[in-house]
Amino acid sequence: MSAWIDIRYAARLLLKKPLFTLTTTAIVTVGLALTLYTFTLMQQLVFKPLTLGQDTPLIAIAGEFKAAHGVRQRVDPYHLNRIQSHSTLLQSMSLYQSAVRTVGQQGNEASSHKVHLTYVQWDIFEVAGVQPLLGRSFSPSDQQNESQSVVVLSYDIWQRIFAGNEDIIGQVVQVEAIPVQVIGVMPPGFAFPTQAQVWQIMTQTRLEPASPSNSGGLQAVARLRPGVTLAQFQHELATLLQRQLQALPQEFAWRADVAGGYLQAVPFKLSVDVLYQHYSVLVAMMLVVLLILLLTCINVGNLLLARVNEQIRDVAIRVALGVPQRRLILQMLWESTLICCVGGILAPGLAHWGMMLTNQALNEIFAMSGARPFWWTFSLSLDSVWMLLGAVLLMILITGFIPAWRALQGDINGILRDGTRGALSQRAGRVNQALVMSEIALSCVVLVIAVMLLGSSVAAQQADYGVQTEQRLTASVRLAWGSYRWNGGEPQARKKRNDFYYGLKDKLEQLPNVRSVAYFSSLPGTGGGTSHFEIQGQAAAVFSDNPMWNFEVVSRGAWHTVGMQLLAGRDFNLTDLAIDSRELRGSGSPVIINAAMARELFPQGGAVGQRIRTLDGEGWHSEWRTIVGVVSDSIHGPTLDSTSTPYTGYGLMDLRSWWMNIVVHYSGDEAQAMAALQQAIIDLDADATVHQIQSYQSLIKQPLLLIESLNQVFVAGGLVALFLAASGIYAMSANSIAMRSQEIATRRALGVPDKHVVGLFIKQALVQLAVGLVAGVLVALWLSAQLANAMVVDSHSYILALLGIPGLIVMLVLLATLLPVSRQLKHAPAEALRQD
Amino acid sequence: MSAQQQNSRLVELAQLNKVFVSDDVETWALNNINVQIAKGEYLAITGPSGCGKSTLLAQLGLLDTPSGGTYRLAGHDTSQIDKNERSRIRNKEIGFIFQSFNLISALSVADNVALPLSYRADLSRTQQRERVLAALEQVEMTHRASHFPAQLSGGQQQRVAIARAIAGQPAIILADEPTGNLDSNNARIVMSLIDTLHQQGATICMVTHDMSSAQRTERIIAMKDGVIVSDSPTSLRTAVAV
Repeated sequence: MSAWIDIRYAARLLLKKPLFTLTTTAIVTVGLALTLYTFTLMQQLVFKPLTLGQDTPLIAIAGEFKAAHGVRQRVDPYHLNRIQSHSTLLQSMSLYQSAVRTVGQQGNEASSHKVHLTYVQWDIFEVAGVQPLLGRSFSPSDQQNESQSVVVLSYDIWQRIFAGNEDIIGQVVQVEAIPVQVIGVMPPGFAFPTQAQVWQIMTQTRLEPASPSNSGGLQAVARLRPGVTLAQFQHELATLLQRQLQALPQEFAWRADVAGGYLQAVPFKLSVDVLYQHYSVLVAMMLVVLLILLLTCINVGNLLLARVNEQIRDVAIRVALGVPQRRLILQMLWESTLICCVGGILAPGLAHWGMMLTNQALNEIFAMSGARPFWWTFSLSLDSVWMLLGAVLLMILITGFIPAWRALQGDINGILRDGTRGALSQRAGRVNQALVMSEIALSCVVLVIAVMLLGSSVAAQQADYGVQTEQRLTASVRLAWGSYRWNGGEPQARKKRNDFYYGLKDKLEQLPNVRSVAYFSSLPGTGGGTSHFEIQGQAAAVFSDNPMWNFEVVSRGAWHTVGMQLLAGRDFNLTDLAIDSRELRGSGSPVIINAAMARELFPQGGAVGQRIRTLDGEGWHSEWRTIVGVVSDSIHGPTLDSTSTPYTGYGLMDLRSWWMNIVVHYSGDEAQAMAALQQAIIDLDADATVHQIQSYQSLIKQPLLLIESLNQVFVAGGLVALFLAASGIYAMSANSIAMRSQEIATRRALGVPDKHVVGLFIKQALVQLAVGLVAGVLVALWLSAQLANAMVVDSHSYILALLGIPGLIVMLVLLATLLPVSRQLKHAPAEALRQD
Repeated sequence: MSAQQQNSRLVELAQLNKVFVSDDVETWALNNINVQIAKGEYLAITGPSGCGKSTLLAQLGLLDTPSGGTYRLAGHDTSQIDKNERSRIRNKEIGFIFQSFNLISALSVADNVALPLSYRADLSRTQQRERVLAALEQVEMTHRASHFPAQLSGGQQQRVAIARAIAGQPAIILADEPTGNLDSNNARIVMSLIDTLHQQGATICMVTHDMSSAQRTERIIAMKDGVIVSDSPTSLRTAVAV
């Protein structure tokens, strides 16, 4: 009954001040929604282990992550198998390799589609714990049979390419123009391990080599025995590896020296390279959101504290009348409980809306590539609900505690005697100062990081990639392996592929609306990933001191198609193809470098004619390549990406690649150019596929979309933080000054000039600012250093954030001090003294 | 009025009014007040709650501006001076003793006493220190110089407030119910101190509704509803009462 009275009393107090109630509820709602959204996103993206309905989580065993390349080191399946056979902690393990392939109906080339195909060990579905909807799973005998490969289709591919044919099981379809038999169809939504659409069995020879070799590219997915932790397995893995790698032949000896281990075990979700690479960004985001939650709590607590200061006489009267302390605390908690509960009810709606936007953004990002891991679809879960309940509880405790503490710390006798405007006790004053300093520090961290990320993202979008993208169409062209296989010997196969690519270029360039055509392994603005290289005669003593470059291959006469210019030397020509053939026998090949590389590495000039080669830490190096020309600068990879480098080397498209990116400079209508490209490919080779046809502008924008959508969260967080900081610092400062109104009046009565009173408060505010800003900037610097591991932080944004945000906060605090002090000074001292 | 009397006048209020306006309702807190206070005078302003005595004291202390009339302090018309000059006059010429002491909790006893002196350009640091010590000695609070207000009793706090009021050697000391928050013993001590100050030549104007305190003064001004209803020497009132 007494609780009901307290609730009604709290509700009445809230209704009496609707603006205050609305403001605090809005702050709580936004704070909780942002936390809920980020928690759900991060949990589903990274932190919640992937179990697929089983008791133990899935883990990945893969090579070392190469930060410079943005991918994991390829690993030798020989070691993976040895680990599996010797481990006592692994319950099951299966090997796989993800690839992009063409799949179509037998005898119907037009049905060929690019799909994400995963080559798998026979027990992959057993490890996943999911069985086919139709047909059967792979069996060990499928792996032994090298003459007839078998595949399992995803539900989506079965419906889309094979029109849901009920008789699909046993039928022969084409993968890369090679016939394979369908043995099963998986249930809807199953895309394990990441984005698989078709699963094809790998051969025993590939899976279980008898000795170590340089073949690689496989990854392992595994489950640990019940009760075994990842840390325990990581320890076992390190021990087993140490034993395995000690007796390797000299050429593989480097495997024993890989920092962190040649093979590493990580939670399965972190096997997605882009997530692993941006892990620190995600952790930073989580930290920033937690800071916002804390800021929200302090803010609402401060607002409630200001209210308590207004009601302190009521509280004192209650204490004087013998109301127990516990009851008083409960009364105060009810007010914050009501606010936090309403916020907690509204927050999921706001978070859900945010998730819908994120899902839409991801749909857009992966519309072309289809490379979206299957768990990257976000929705509120039971875990989210628990988190929300926890956050609401935490908020109630913090926001209720601050005012309750203030009320019960007061000198009841003094309050009853002097009224609400009694001088602020030293202890309460110190707590007020600490709260203001926390607000300053927290808002500084959040805003600095938000500005850095937003600025970097904007800079990346506005970056000059050194190419012209208008009226340029891009696409990825794939040749079916079955039609260009090596069975005629590599030079013949290369000639055949060469004939296709240059035949397509000639055919398109004859069209009236096509100006020129070029091929790039990765077009400027995309790709990225760097390697070390050395200049002949200038090798660094330590491998890692060698410069890094991005190496791409291009077709002859490619530059003008993307608006690049040849600045020195010559372009590739037909004679280079002959040299290129010799390169395969170790005689070297031509390379063209970009202007920045020529300028910075050959400052005396004379880059043309120098020799250069790529190398890695494991002792591998390419053949020497001779610099034959210098082209204008372009940037490969998004400028935000830490794997991007200002140095680029271009080799002649040697046609060992099965796919190239085509860029078509057209005039007139884009749709017409697209149709022409598709038709030309069909005319030349019906088994070849073209996909991801889009404008060059869209292509460049695509890698930034993910970071852009993450940045939107930071921007939202930054705006919330700015609002919280502005309102919180002002409320806190105004409250603190109001509580000292009698002191101000006394000082004025004693003849202290008004400007000295203002100066006194400014001085105190500056001390708080200094402490808060130093703490905030230090934390922000640490966080930005973490971010710099994963992305390029734009230097202008860095400076703007580190100077602008503290400057903004200084203005905010000075304003929050000046306004309430000026308000006090507007009144005659007698007014404040009269309120004794 | 003789020239000597004219010169000895410290305070002259002529037809002074103070009107508070709230929700279109005018409240005449002071209505046509005419008062003169001579140097060295010791007077009390009395009257029931809400009669306007504290408002009058605020006017005398330049803590508020009048709605009408004139106030001359030491021959200077205060209606013509700006905020800064009012501050300077308060700082140098007026000493305040408040009912609720109004010591600044974050400052020590010595710093509280030194506060008004620290804005006096005519006093060196040494002089300020000497005045603080002298004032504390006079109220017998030297031994508590480094303590903070919260560590003192009510009587001790008021003695510190008196030290603060006299440290600057002001032309007039304004005391607003100086014993209002004190027990009888402490009230007696405080009143003795104020009496002593008067005996040493200080001009003291005290607002009180405690008649026993008022009767210690030389002159009593009685107010009601913002108007002075009587202004007579204490001896006369005592005689009438007798």
